[in-house]
Amino acid sequence: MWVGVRESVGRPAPASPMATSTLKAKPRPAAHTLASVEGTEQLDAAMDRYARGEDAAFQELYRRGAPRLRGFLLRLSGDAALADDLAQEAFLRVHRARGSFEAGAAALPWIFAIARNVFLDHARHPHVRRAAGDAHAGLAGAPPEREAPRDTQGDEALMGSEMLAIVRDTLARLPVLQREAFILVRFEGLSVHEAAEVLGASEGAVKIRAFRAYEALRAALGQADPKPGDPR
Amino acid sequence: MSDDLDLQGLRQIPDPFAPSALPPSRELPPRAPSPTRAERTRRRVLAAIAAVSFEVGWVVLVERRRDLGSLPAWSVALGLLIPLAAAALAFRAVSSKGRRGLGVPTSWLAALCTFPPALFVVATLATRPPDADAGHFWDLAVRCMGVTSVLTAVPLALGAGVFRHAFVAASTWRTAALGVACGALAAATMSLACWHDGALHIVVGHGTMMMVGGAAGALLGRRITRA
Repeated sequence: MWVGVRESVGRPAPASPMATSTLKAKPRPAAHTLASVEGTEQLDAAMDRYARGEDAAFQELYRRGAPRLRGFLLRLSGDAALADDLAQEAFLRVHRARGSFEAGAAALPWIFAIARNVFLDHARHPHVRRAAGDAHAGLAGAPPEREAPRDTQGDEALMGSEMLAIVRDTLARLPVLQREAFILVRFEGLSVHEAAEVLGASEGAVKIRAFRAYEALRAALGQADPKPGDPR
Repeated sequence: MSDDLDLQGLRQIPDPFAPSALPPSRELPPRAPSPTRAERTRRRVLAAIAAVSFEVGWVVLVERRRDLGSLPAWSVALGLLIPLAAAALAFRAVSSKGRRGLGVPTSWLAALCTFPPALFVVATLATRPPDADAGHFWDLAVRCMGVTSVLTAVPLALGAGVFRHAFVAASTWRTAALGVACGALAAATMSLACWHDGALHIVVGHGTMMMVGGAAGALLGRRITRA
């Protein structure tokens, strides 16, 4: 049965262990989400002022929106340098399209939708597609953007970093449609309805894509789960 | 099927890129002029006026049915009402803000792209007489298709220009709806320009451009109107 994801998934997750794995790394809450929930109204207001022509509002829009935008693009692309470049392009498009931002609308889904267009344009570029054919989307095996959580120690940290590497690599291998649906719903805190609007797809399609991504990730993590008697 | 999916488990997947805060990594992007909301609204109104003026101008200056003055008012109104209702429905899909400013859901867009042409066909076949001059059906229909294509293309070009880089989501569907709306507007104009009242002639000769306009709009959506 479907459960409202906005309440259950996008918000800071409780510190429950992985149901399918004995790896002890806790599913950490998305810290940026906590901050951004408080700043969402200011972001909306800044975008609204910017759409009305108040150029000074861009500073605040960039300050509040850029971390979220870069985080979204980093999760989507798996490459920090590429995420930076795409974020710059996305902000150019935000600037170009600002007049179409409706009064009273939510800025973040609107900005994510533009960022997604930027990423898809990049992914459709012929030389990227050729490279993706060679390097399996260009993400698998890439060095991790960040190390394991600093509050973990020793083996636990090692297991946690392994787990994160598995998630990162599996995400990279997922089809873009599944990856973007999963990222928006799981990591960016959007409801399925919001994600469907951002992706220009039906809610049912987004649910199915996110769930398939989840199944693939769960399977990958399950394979890494050490069996009893395993020398690991 | 999707109602059975439980996404509660998603939160078990850790975020490999979870940062405490990802700072903006570069300078602000360069600033080129871009239209503000008020400017966009002004351009839309001007484009709408220009599109309607073009259609009216066509009827006044280029081509008008010879029997327009002698037709009963209800017949003229019916000929206008059906395509204008279709145009209004399709245009609603284009201009609707949706709940979060991203437009109406894709399922609605798909319905609003396909329903107006269907409404036009059904209502025309139900209310118009059968075609009398069957011998020249295709000659007349192709001629009217040519005229309707011009009457569709000009408003569509205006619309694509006004909505340039304006649709952040579902741009293909929304621009397709714009094309359908322009095709329906052209069909309304043709009801005042063409003197053939046959139901099939109107459907084929005047209504085809609703579909063609929708297809053209879909092509324009990815290249021009997408933000």
